[in-house]
Amino acid sequence: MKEMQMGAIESRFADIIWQNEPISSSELSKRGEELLGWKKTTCYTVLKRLCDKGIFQNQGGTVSSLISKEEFYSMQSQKFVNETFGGSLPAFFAAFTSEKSLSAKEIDELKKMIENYKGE
Amino acid sequence: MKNNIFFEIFNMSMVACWLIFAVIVLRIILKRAPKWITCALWGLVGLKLTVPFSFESVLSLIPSAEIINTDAYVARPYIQTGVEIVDNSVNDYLGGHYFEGVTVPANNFDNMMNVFSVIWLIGIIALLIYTAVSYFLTYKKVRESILLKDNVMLCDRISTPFIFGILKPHIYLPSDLNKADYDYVIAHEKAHLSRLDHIIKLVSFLILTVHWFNPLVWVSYILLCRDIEIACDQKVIKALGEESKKPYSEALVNCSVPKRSLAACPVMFGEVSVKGRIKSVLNYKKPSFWLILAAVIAVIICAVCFLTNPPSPSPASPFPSSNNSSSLASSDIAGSSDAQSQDTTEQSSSNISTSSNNETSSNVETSSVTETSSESSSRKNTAPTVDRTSSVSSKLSSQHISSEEKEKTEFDKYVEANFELVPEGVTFRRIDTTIYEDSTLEEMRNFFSGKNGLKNITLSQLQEKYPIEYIKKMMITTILFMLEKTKY
Repeated sequence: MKEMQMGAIESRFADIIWQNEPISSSELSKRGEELLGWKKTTCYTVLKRLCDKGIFQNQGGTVSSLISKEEFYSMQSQKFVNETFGGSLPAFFAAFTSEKSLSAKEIDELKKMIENYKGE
Repeated sequence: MKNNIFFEIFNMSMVACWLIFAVIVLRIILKRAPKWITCALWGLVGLKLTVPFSFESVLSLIPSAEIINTDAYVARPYIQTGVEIVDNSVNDYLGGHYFEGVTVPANNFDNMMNVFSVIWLIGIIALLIYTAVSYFLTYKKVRESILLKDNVMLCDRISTPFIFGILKPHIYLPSDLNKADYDYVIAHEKAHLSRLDHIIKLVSFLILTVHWFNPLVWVSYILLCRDIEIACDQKVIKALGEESKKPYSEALVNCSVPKRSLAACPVMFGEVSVKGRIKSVLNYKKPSFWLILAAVIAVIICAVCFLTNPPSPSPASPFPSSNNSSSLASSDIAGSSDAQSQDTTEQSSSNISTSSNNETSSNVETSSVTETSSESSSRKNTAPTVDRTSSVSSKLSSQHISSEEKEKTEFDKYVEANFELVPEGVTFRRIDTTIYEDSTLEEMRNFFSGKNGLKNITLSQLQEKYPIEYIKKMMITTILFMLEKTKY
């Protein structure tokens, strides 16, 4: 569970699976070629790697996920906070708000960013 | 055939060492000149290592153009580097294993060279296999990439930006590269492509493959690679202007910090040369016309003195030699595959004359022997015997010393008047005070590991050090996590 990480490119491929699951592996490699320009062998290589990481599974030629997208990214956030701040969120906020409070402009910006992120 | 090829290459490699020494010295002197000039110097080295023929000139500062006699059969082996100490000690050693007056089977030396040739070939094959394997492994990695724009691709599986492909080269960027650095990294790689560096590096590596036994060639390759990087940095800064220096240096620093601790990339190399590159970027000034002119003149002088070979001694000049160890050698006969039996009889006859210690007669015998051999005229440097050659080379070297002295003084004066010589690796002259130190890298690492006193850093202070995009991303992820957590 701990070693579940995906690079930006792998995430693009994972998105294809999440958006279209359950999907046959041959159909997936076609999509991979359409959307990313990858050869079949490349798609299969990346798929195998993601399955080894425990995020997806390939059962008899059908690919589906073991963890949903939301679960996965939530795990990532937790991991990030654990690693960077020793798990302490208050420390993180204190860092940003101790001497200078967030301006109204910055708060608005933050809200917009969260909206955009959720919308993805 | 194999022997002769290895002999030729070995000779070329050793002779090129003089040029490499000169280039290494010039490189230090020309530190302030634009780096593309230094790259041109390495081009001279490349020529010297590949082109089998050369112009002969009295201005040549190379002591000897033929270290090992390339004749197939040598009754008594010797070397002539032109450096008396080396020649004497090596020839004494070789002399100790051969007896005068006895017809030494010429094959002994030949066999030794055969073994060396085989080792040389094995070395080449090993290097080629290594290249093929690493090319294939890299190919597997860069398959998993997505087009960004033009010929730029993003890839998860790489840790530094590079160019891959010879016919249709593409630029590959690690997917976790800071977006702020994109423009500079892409500009740098595009500069490589426009300078055809990807081809130059490949050709240089192939030359290295052939000359793998010569450590100076490895040194040249490593220095060439460094100089190419700096030349590209300079090209980008020149095009983008003074304001690009700071963000470009930041991009260099970012690329040298390993993102993933599990990455197998050799961090050492990155950190060592990054410092040098950042210094040269920050110190870069548009070179003046006179500086470029001086540097080009230096390159031309270097080419004339070291790219050319010393004139080969003419065959018809017999005279006694003062050098004992080399003079007692029996004649060397140009190998002629048809006249093998003739050669052996001639060899034994001149051996007899040598053992009777009659130098003049052996000279005369030898000259007639070599002249009857059909191959002698077609090969340069094979006609003279050892005793002739050593006297000629001593004559030449005295000539060389005087012209060398003369040229050095004038050149020295010019250099002293216009450049500041700083010994490499001892001190650096600091012109610009905003130089990134190792402490910056340390700070960034501490930040990621949360060791720093984060409580005391404000948003604006953080913004000073890190791109706002990164800070925003961190904030969003943490806020989302907090939101998720409060659900439960």
